[in-house]
Amino acid sequence: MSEPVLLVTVAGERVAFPAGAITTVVELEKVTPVPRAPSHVSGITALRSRGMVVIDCAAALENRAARPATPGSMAVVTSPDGFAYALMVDEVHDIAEIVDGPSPMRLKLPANWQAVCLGQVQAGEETLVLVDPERIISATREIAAVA
Amino acid sequence: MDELLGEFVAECHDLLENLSAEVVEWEKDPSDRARLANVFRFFHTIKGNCGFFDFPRLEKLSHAAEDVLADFRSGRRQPDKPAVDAVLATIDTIRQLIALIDAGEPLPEADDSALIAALRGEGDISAAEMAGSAPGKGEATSPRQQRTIRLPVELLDRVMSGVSDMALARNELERLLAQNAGSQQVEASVHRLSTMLDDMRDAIQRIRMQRIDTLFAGLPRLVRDLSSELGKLVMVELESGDVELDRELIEVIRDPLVHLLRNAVDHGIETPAERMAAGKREIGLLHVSARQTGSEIRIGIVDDGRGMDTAELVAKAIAKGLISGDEAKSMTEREKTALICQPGFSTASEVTAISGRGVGMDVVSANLEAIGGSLMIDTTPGAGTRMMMNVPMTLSIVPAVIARAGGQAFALPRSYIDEIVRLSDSNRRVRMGGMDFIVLDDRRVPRTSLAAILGIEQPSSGTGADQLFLIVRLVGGDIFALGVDEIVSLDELVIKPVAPLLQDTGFYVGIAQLDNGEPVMALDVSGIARAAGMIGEVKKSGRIAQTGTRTNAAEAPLSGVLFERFDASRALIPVDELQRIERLPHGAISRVGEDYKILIDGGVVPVLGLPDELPAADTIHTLLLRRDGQLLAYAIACMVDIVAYRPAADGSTGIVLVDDRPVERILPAELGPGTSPCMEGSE
Repeated sequence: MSEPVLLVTVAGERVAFPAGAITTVVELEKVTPVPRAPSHVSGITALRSRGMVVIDCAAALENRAARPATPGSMAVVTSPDGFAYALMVDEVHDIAEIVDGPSPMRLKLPANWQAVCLGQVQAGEETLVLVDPERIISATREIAAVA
Repeated sequence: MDELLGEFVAECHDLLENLSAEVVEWEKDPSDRARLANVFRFFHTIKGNCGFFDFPRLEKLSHAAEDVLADFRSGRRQPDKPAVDAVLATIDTIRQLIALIDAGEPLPEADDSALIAALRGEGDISAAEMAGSAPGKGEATSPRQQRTIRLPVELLDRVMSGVSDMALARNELERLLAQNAGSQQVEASVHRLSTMLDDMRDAIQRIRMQRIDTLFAGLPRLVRDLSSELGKLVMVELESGDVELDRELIEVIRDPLVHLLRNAVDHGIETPAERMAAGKREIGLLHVSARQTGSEIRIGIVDDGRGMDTAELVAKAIAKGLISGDEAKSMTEREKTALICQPGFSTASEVTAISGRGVGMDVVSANLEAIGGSLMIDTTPGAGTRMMMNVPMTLSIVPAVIARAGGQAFALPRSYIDEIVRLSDSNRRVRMGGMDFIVLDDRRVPRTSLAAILGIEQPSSGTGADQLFLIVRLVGGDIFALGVDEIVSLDELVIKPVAPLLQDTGFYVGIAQLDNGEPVMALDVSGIARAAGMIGEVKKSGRIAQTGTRTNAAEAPLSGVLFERFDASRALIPVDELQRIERLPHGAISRVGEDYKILIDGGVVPVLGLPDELPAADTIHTLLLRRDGQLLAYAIACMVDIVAYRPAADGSTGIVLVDDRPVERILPAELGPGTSPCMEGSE
């Protein structure tokens, strides 16, 4: 299988997003907080006159409150349901090809990792977790459903 | 279809649409020459145009109607009720024939002679209806054809959203230009581009939008037909709120709206006798309003009828196996009323011709959900029902107030905001029963703070310190004051739907961009109100809606009861002042000294308006009024009609104009003595 993936660092760890699900990579400017939003939502921002919801990926994965976004933070943009979401990440690296996988994880992952994980893949030299961006968006809702 | 024929059909549709409201007014006063002329012109145009085409049936009908109206105009004949009914039936038949022509179907060979005879005053309209040539009344649902070329709606959507994005990109360009001062030439061209873009945006918007008035225009006629069929008295109040709606959506919501109105008239509003027995005004009130709110249009249908018995609804739903007893216990009132939208649920113990026709509530609700809308029903037994249709309206440009709370900006649709007040006087803040209020024009308005609801209070300011309040009026009439830090601006915003993630919070309807490019959340005002506990009961809101219409006296026609006194002079009492009409047996009226008294509801009530010699009639009609909380009866010789009136131009209060003729107006507060404080235990 040779599906391309985008390698990013989230919560201090390198993970892969299916490249097909990502529209673009942006550097965030001003992010306006949204009171009463789900905890992993940092706020909203406007990108080229398009409003989008900014999600703190690390917060979604570790199930904690989003940190306020700092200007210059990197984000990958995805729009699974017609609305645009900017997923805030620590760093954006490269596009790579999946060499092997995805194959199921043998261990149950902690916090929300289990819910967003599509399996493990080998891309280039490394083995990392393949993450579904859509599940990151709905992360808190799934937690609520489980609880 | 032949192009000429298409033109003819389109013109007929336009004429019919305009005529709808006109006819109802004309019926109220058939001697109104201006309206008569309009109705006459309609038939004349139809007749004239028929000449070009081969529609003998249409021509005969319009010819006959034109003749009758010509007779009315010249005074050869009086426009009595049978004649007016016949004219209305003719309009309906013509409407149906036009619809058939439009559909390209051949006109059925039917005999209109009964209808024509009715027009000439030689037959009865009911005979004409028996003959089956007249269509059912109340068919205001025929889709309106535009004299336009047809375009796929998606294409218009794309153009519209493209132009909206261009406007936002333009704003960004202007901002960049302001930061890096460029040459004047560049600025001038950008400015020119900007102006052109604004014009274009206006034009594109108009292409898709249609004022909701075009939908509302047919409602008075519909309600008039329904209520006369059901033997009820119903007054319709329309409040279109300048709402514009996507043309396609207007067609989609037409049927549900008509059905809800039918339900309100059929099941909600009681018969005049029942209303009088319940101590209500004889005339039922139906208030239809539209509000624009972010990405939604809310259409409220409020009646002051008998309301729904939710316990009965639940019992029935359990009996039908729709819900279990346990489920019922945990249901909210609104969930209970929503039961009537369940497939297989029908509240009417007998299916009447009106509500049984067409679709059921389950279909109405399903149709609304299909377009992303919803239906909410609130009811207060004995006092009325409020049905609210929420219809989405993406791509809308919404006039909005941008306010700052807790250091953040939020947009609120301006249609919700009655006024903005600044309170520096702490005397105008009161606390009662754990609720905070502000005092506004001697009213107590509950207040809440936007920052507190959103949980973003800043410790420095504190919630009690709000000085600026948006007075918010919800659909249905509830009012509350929303405290904010400051008003940033008033703006026209393109409000785009917001991701479900944020919409589900119930606080937001959309996301918009300010001119400086900063994104701003558009608040869901009713969600905010709900979270703050500011939505009251239906009963209360109905009352506020009434006072609201009274203050709008300038535009809304006032209505009054016109009656004849025993000295044969005519006078009028505003409908609002009237409690009810009571027919009293002659013997019930007794003379106490100089005054007449009667016993009503266990209290002694003075009777005014009687001549010295008690009339010989078996029964005497009295208008029951209320003055300073006490009942007062005004005896009349007979009731003439319920009429529209307006204040006299010179401002004199005792005289009003009915059909441009002066009539004395009676107000309970101005009536002479007779109210000796001898009433005990009345009410």
